[in-house]
Amino acid sequence: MDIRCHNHLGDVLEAIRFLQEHGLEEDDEERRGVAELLGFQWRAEPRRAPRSAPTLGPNPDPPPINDLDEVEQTPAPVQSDNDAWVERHAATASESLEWYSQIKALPATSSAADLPELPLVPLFNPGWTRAILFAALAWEIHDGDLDVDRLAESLASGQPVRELPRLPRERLGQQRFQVLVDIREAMRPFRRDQQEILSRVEAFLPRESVEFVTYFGCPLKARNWAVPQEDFTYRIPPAGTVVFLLTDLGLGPRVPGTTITTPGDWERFALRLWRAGCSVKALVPYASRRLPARLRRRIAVFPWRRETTSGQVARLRKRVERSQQR
Amino acid sequence: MIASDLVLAAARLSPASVELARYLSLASRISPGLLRRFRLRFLRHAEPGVEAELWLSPLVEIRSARSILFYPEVAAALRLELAKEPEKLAASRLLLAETRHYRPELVRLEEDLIWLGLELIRNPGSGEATRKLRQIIKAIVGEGRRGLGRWAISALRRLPELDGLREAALLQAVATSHLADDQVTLDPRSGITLTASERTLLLKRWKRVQVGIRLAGETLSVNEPPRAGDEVLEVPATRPRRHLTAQWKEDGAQREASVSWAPSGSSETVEVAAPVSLVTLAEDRYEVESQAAAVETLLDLVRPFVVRFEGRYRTEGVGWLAAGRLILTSTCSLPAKFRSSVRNLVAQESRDTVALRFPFLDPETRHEARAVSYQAWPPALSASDDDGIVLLELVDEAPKGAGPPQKGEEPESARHCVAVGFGSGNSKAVWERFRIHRSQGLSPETLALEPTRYWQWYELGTWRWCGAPLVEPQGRCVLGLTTAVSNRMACVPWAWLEASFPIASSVDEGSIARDEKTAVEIKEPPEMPPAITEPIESITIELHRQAQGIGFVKGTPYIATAGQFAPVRTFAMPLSQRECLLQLHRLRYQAPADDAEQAREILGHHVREILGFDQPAGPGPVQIDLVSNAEELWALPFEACLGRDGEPLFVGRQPPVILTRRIRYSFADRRPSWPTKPRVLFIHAAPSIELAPAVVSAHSRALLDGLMPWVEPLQGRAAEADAERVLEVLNDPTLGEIEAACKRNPYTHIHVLAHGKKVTNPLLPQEYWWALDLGGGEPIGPEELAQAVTGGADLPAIVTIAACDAGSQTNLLAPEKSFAQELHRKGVAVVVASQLPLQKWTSVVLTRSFYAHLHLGGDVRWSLHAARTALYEDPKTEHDWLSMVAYVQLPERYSDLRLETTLQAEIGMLETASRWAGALERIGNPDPSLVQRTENALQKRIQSLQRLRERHRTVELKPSVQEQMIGLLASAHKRLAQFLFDRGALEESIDILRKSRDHYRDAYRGNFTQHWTGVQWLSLEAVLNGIIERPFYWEEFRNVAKAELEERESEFWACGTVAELCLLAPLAGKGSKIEEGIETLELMKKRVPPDDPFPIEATRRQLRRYTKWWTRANGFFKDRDSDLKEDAETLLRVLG
Repeated sequence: MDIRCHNHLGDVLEAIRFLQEHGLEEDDEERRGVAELLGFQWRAEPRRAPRSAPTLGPNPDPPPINDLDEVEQTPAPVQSDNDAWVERHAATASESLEWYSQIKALPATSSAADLPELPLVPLFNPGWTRAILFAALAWEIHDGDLDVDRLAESLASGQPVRELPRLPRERLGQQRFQVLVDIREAMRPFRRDQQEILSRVEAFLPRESVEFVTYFGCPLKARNWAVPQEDFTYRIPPAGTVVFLLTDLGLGPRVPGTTITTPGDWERFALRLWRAGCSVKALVPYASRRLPARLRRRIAVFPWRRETTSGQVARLRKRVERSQQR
Repeated sequence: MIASDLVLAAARLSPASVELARYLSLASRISPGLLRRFRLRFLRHAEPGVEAELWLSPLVEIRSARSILFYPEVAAALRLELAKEPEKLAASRLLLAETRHYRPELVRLEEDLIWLGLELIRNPGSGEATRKLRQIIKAIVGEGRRGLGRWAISALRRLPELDGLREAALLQAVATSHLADDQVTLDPRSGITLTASERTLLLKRWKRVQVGIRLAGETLSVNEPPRAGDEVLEVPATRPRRHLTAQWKEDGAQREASVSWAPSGSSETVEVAAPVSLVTLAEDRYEVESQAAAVETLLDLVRPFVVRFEGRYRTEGVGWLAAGRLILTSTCSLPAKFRSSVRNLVAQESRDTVALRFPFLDPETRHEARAVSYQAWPPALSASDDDGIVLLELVDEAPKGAGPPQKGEEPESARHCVAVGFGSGNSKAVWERFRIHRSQGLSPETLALEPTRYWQWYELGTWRWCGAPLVEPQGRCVLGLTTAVSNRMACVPWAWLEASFPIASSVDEGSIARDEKTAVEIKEPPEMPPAITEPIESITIELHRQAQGIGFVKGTPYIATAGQFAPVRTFAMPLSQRECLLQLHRLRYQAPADDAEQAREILGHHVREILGFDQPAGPGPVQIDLVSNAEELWALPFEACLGRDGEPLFVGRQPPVILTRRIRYSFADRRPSWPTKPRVLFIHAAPSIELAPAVVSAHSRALLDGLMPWVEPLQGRAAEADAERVLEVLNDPTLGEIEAACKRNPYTHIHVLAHGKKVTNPLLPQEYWWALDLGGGEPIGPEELAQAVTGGADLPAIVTIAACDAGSQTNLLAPEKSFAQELHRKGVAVVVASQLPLQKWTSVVLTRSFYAHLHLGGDVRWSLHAARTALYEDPKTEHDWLSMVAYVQLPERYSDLRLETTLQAEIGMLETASRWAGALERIGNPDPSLVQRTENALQKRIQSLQRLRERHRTVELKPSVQEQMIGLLASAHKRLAQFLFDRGALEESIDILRKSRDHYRDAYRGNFTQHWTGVQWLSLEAVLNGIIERPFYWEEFRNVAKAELEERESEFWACGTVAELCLLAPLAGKGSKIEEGIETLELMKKRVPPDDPFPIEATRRQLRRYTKWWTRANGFFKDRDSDLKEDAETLLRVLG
């Protein structure tokens, strides 16, 4: 068992009072002895002290007493000629502002990071999106049931039947897809719609048959404005690839400082792809009538809006396919 | 160009976009989602491109990745136009309000001010805008909310409608002065001159600098910064000069002098005569006096005292009061983190009371801890010559002269005794013996001393003591003990007593039970029994008395209905009042055991006849929901009902039958949802001979055990538990304290441990009721308690009362009902109490079994059944299993809610386990057993959540819950993978990491705006596959993060995102971008506030994973020649 006692200022004062009450306090030396006995360093008498009272250090607080080592390591009070003892009083002037004391402070606000973003109201009717995308990307293949009407017609006309005619079926087939996503500033309000379409496409097309490419403006003349030092080089995909654009085809407002994209650029782009044996389809959040008719013949432009239906998209696609065959 | 011209120009380009802008002019920030909703609502037939036209319109001043803001003048002009068409204005405001909760609170506040500004134009007398602005001013000034100040400066610029208001000018000035350090001019905008009071307000929270005051003889000087030996005070950091006004009296006249100095300089000396008042520009006043003069008076002021604090941190202390400064030498029951802080308090004394300020505590603690009583020694009874030295001694046997143990004294092990004696000369002495035991507090390192005997020798009177025992890490017990006697001044201000015995060997033996350890540990949560998820069929049995009357009258006809299709039945009361009370009395432990058994059987048969139910028909569990309008029936112990086989019906059966009671129909349903995250209040009576501290500890332990999965690590303290967040304890509170606590905090569960006390109406002795006796004050009646615990905005869902007769309804004359009924009537959904005397051991078993699974999201009815069965199976509880009554009114759709709440509870518990993992990750060398426990907890919670999700896969969850769940699963898997890697399970770790990747991917797909989760997905895909297959995402994430950095200069988290993406660039086919990564991290170092090391540390931790964990040597980056170790090390060097 070990008993250890630690003293602080109060003990010094108490001891000195004890000495005073018992008439034992004689002089400074006596008090120095008491203070040093209790582990305090005595310091010189202050200049203005009218009588021989013990002098406190510059800080009237005792050393921290929760930690024994800390007490032992506390440096001795600094020798100083400063005789000031400062006490603080609360400020009062602000309380004289009458409304200030009466009104409640605005409650604390929570962090913005906790808030979810407004749920997306997609451009397409959500229930129809899958059907619309299917209608847009599907390919007509004549491998359905026997086309009895055509067969009867050819037999009736006395022509030899070299091949049994089959009815067409819409399928996604084995072709490759390249999804081009325009992420320039004019498409910013539609960014989440683009992501929605991407995830839908990802969900129903085989992963290995889809390539996603992002660009700013028109792929053939795009510059990456966010990373100016980088060039963007668009590679024409292999023949048979369906190129699916999520863009405004240059109809959106121009962003200062970026390359202007005209319908002519898109026409050249579509022509190159057509020559390479690719078909081009686009979801555009603007009315397609604003586009030149020539461009609309090269690119199957589907309106990207709430009222669009899969039937409408299928008709549009077939019309463009027919015009391209001609 | 003025606003109207700009609007006209924009209208020429796109009239529809201007029309849309008009509707949106009430909004502060316009996100794409808001834009879309407004277009579809107001311009349904316009093409979607209008949204882009408005996004890039010339009306827009600020455009970021997430929102646009109009020019302030343009928005004001558009608002005025919109206000001309009240219907459109109202429709626009309505739509904005519908989407309000998706915008940050400050944006909502700005929108409120926009609306109030518009109101001000329409109705100039409206004072609402002024009131709102004043609230903001008070929040900035009073609470120092710098973020709000920052917001105010930019918001006011966008609110020209408020320009004329004085408060707007004051807010501008206040906000600027609080943000701009010392560079701001004091004059506000608009040429409004501030009054003196307003100037003070302005400076109230101004940044302050410390200056030194030096008084030498009659000269005063000021130094900045303070020099050695100076007295230090704080002044507002004004520029170009600091300023103080010195005031003093000299020759009877008031003198004043101005003291000024340049920043980082010294003032000229001023000739003064002490004492001197120094007044700062903020009206802070300091009194400066001569030390020598102060010491003279100090000697008279030193006084010992005992002080008691109440509030959240209750404590007692013994100390000194000297010159208005309180030196608290010893405290107890105070959390360790504050213990050193309260040793030096500033006191302002006036007569009998003392008000204490806590200069070293944070504002919250300062508010919660307050001294309420103060007992000083009477000045007349000062120390006499006889008073001697106090002895403080640890003994291993009872002190001599202690005499035989007295009644009520518990036998104790001498090894755990501390005896303290302080003698007053040879003939006078007082001894006091304490027993060391674990305290019932929640602080893990608190032991308490319990006085076991009080000796009063000679004329020594009352006494006070206070001890603060501490446990040292090496297992030694250090006792700080301060003792004082009030009628003979004998005070030890400070003394340490070190015990020589190791704690572990002492506390586990003798009177200290093993299960009373309070050290909070991460324990694996108890398994939820499989049956707990089974749905319960509820059958309502209603009993009605047709005739008027009160009490039991034998033969009175009653009507009974049961379930949906059973025919109505009648029965006659089989008992008279006397017979009923007699049988109940035999169950009150005052009669022989055989008598009680007989009474139980008699009552069991009778209540079976009354209920008309003796066996469930179906194969599943059944709840009997008992309702009655006949008051007297509630006195009957329906819980004792016997089944067809003569055995108790409501315990130990398969399938279980659960009896709950319900009041018809005064139930106020004030809690439409069911709580998921528990916050428990434990109210207990003061420990005494009747209520041993061990019982209180056992209740506390039982509650804490049930809450373990919710106990989070203490913030800022490595791997220490913060149990007080989920369990708060009130020891012997007053009614007011209970009410205040319930108003302050929305408790979900309240548990009461107290004595039941019979209170008789003095005017009508036949009328009595049962009250709670907490020890200190007046007994608390049922209505009073119900009022107190339901006074807050949120009601507790469950209240359990472990007290005798708290559910007893035997006195039909008393207007006041039992605690159970009064609380239930006030809207508490579940109240559990005892209708008969409750034994102490029973109360412990009840609490332990009821709360064991309750917080895991189980059905509360299963908890009731588990509690009753546990009581039935414990031989020591005798027939207390039938004493337990439960009043239950579950919310509508409880079964549906329960799935959601169970899921939320699982998510919450997983989050807690993840926080532990995070806390362990932050500390260097954690305790291996804690790591193992955390890993197990994490694994268990992940499995449990996945199981639950699998089981209810068809249930559509709210998107926010879904997102939270997937995100949490992702991060928890990653942490688990790290644990596995740390202990060498590489293959297993990689498998878990794949799951983490998939969850991150799903989380990102669930919410595309959370690019952070997307980056985590890419990062894991890169390290696991060695390639990023979709470079589109890489670019998108980087663009968004960079846009955030450009948008807000204070943003720094996005720097970490960009840096990590730069590190991953080669895997996305982008070539090395390490230079860009370095630049971004340099930017991060500049932006992160110096007092917040966390962002840098978190980024460093993530990068370190690439150097130590995700390397080729550990099986990552397969099919690649190299990993990212070197690049990550380069980035780490930037962070230092």
